[in-house]
Amino acid sequence: MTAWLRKNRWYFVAIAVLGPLAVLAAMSTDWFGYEQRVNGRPILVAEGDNVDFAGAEWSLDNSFVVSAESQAGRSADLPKNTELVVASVRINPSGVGDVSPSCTIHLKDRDGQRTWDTALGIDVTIDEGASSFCDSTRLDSYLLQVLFLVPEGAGEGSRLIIETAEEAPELLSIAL
Amino acid sequence: MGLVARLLDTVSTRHWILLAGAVLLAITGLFGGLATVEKEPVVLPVLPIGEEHVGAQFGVAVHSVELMDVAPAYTFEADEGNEYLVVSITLTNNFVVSTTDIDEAISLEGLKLPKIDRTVLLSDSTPLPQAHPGLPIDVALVWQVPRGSVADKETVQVSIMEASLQTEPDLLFGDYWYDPVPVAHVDLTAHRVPAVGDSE
Amino acid sequence: MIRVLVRVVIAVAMLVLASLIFTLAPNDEQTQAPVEIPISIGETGTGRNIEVTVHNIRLAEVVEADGYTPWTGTTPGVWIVVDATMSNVVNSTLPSGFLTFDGLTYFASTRPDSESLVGARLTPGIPTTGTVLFEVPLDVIQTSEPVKITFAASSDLRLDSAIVLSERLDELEIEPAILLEGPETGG
Repeated sequence: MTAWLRKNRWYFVAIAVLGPLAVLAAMSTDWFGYEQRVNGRPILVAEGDNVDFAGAEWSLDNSFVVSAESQAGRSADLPKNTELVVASVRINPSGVGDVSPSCTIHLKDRDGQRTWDTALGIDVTIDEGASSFCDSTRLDSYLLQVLFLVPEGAGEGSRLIIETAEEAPELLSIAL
Repeated sequence: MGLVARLLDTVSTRHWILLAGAVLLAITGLFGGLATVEKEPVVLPVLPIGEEHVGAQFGVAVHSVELMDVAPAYTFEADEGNEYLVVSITLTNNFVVSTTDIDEAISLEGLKLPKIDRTVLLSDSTPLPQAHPGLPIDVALVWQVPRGSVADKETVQVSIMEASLQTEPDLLFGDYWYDPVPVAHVDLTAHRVPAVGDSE
Repeated sequence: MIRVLVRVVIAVAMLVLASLIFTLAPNDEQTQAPVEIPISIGETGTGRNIEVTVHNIRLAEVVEADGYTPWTGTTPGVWIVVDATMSNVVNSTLPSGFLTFDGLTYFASTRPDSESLVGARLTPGIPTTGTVLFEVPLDVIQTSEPVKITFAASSDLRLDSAIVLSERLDELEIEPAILLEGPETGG
């Protein structure tokens, strides 16, 4: 018995090494697809940047945080221990193809752990002429203004995530 | 090995074919034979109005068939040229999990009905009501039909249906009911109900 | 002869082992089962994407809500009224809740619509406090057998967290009517 084992020992070593490697290799292609589906391929946009994406020029116009404790927060009836993140993005459609991009908009916190949807039913007026969504009917430059209700402190270092169906998995990650 | 070889040699190929044929006939004989037989038409029981038929999936009692311009849980009128056909039933979920899939519990087979418009809980007008295990609910099943396709005082036959259960050890889709067939009939007189606010 | 016998025995043993593995291997329902996090009343359970604190369980014959559209819920059985606070952890979802008892599963009632805590999306990090209703036949609350209430971030429980609470309800009084307070965000 042991003679047979000794005679074939290198085959056993090969199985022990190559087996797991084969499994890892087979799964690695799935991993990269999964990773991209979850995190996308972000195009990082810093303050002051102007980025070409999905047939338009995007730049951060303004962003600020309204604390629930502040006067503005109180008059907007923000719930306790929350803050409102307000972000304005200038969208300048390039006019190519006669269509302006439509998009989905989220807010991610600094660590990228939490994701918020745009807030509904918050009593805060947005700028005249601004739109609260990517308006594909607007072919001229316009302001996109969105609100997010987040836990107190989460607005700091947060990023606006803008995705379009055409550009996926690439997406815009705008520092606020 | 030698034994099997010798056995194969004693019986000629022709005999093996005949043997296989005999086995085939014997097995199909067990299943009723190869000739197809006409199924005898089954006569289904006719239940009185309001009597419950207890099935494995649902217990169903049919109460009324009504025609109206504005149906429960909605304030819109039916599309141009249509009216609402509303069947009211009491349904009890006899299965083990809550469901909103109740629109195939009954069928009006004589009428060529389109897809059901909605189901409504009569006590509070909740749309798409849940049928919870063991809890009877009074619901209305609503269809849009061309005005006049069912006449006032016309006899309508409502069939109580029973589906078959397919069990799957799958966490997302799990067990499901399929292929409902009629198991009982209830004959009702359709009544035209005036809409709220009608001056007649 | 012995060598043939040994090979036959090994072959049979492998067949038996294969069929054992085939029958014993976990099916989809088992490999995809949710991770249960048990809590008691007053405790907070935190899952991957849902955090739940159950405050109170009451029983009622009738439940009412006086929100945008007033609602009165009557039942041939009994209402199980669960006051709780919930929030998402990583992203916003529409939570789900169900009650199991004696092999039966009761989904949280949709009758109270947006007045129910499971009728609207939750927010990551911001708690929403409200009530979840279950409508059950009387015999569910009449035995000393506890019911099991499960809350999850969505209706798909596969491989995700489920916060579970087991409580016996036979010692609770059935109130004639309970007024629901619609869900409140923040805290």
